[in-house]
Amino acid sequence: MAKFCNKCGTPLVDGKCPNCADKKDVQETVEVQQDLGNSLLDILKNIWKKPIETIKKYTEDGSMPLALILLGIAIVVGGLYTYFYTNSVYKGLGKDLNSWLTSIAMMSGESFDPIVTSQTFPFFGLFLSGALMTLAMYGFLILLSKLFVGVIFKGKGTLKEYTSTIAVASVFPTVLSAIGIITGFISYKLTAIIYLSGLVIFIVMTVQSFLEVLKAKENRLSYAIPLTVILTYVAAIIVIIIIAAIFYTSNQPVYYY
Amino acid sequence: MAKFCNKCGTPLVDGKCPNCESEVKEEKIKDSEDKKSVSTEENILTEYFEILKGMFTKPVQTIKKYATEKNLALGIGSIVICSILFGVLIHVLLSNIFSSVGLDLSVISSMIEMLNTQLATTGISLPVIGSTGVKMAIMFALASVIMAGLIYLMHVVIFKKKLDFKKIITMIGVIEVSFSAFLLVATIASFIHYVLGIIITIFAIGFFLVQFHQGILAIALTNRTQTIYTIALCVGIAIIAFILAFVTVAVCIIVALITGISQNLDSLVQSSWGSMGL
Repeated sequence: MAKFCNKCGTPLVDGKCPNCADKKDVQETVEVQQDLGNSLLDILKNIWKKPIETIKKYTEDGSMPLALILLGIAIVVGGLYTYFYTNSVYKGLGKDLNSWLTSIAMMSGESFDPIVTSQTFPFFGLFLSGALMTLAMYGFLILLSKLFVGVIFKGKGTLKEYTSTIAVASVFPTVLSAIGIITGFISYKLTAIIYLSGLVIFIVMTVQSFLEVLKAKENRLSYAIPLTVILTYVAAIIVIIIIAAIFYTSNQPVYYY
Repeated sequence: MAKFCNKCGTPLVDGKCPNCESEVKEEKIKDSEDKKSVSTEENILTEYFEILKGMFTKPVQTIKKYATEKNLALGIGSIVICSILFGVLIHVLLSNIFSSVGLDLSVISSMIEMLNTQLATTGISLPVIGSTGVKMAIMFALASVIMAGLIYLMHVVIFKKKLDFKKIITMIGVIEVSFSAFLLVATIASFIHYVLGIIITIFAIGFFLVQFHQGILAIALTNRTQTIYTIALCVGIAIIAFILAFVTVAVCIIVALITGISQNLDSLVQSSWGSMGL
């Protein structure tokens, strides 16, 4: 039996070379990372041309790390979008309001001092609330899809497959939200249209993926999808209200009598 | 042998009266046409109820079966019924929302009209609430036609595929049959409580959008990716139309509440001055 490594001459430990085994581990990790990177690029490139085929491919692959990375990116972008869009809406609405009030004042022959809208909101609070909202939305969407489409209306697919499908489809709203962050500096109305487009494409792709990839019952989908979407929004709003209440009460000054 | 008609006195031709024979023929034709129209009306009604049942049990098969050029009349009829029911629902919802806070829709409408005449010189006009239901019915019918136009445009102009416009209109009419039923239920429910009416309406919109998705899938002649983008565009426009309808209703409610509150305040101030003897 060999006692030394035939590659580097190091004494073997439990029949393995400590140097070469480490290198192999590192190489495997690098390969997995490269695979994840390539998969992300592949999804970004092909999902626009062949959306259902791309979703099917990565759902059948069943790679949970990839699904979690995609959802993680979606959550971060959701947080950033909330911060930038809130500022954009505040400034844009302020401008619009000022121009309306000025024109009304001009018509009635009075002068009007424009309202100052230079205030910026704190980054961390808005980012965190946006990220939590996105997390709650995707979390409830995955669980309720599995419940209504999978269990109650007897579709196929495991929770892992539902997670992968929704994670890959989330690329649409994530990319369009990222574009919306940039257009937010130009117009808050344009950003709203871009964001809404992302949301609509996401819902259409998800419904189509449930039909084709997860073999949902097509005659029951008109009951399952509205229930899933409506309850997802209700649940996410409840969670956000609870979180906001916790933040609010924890930031209140404590009075000692 | 008789030479003249014993009914009108006209000379007979080949033993038959040219006047009375043609009248008999016309009567026969009229009778058969009447029977045909009654049977067509019966058929349309039967088909309407068959579609209604089918859209709740087997929507995809029902859309494929009935969304054909032959059923154009049924499709148009369904769109008209659905538009009227949508307008009625909005009107009933508004009335019930106002009555829940002690306001009357007709009184509020006339008050807003009076305010509009006063504001006419400034160029500002408040939404006339009384006709919101009619406006919504027209908007819904227009939105249905725009949807059909978009599907046609995507097929014929962008993706260069032939698709009959009549078939698209019929498909939209077929999916609006179940939506009409939901609107009717929501209208009745809003008499119990307007929140119940709103919840049913929101579910109905979701139900309608999924069936709209399946309807486009059923009649589309484009490839899968092209069809999905067509669906996304049409569903997106439909969502925007519904959001606009809700925003209009919300604006009406806000305007009405502000007007009602200011009127109540005025009367309260006047009565308090009066009680003080001033």
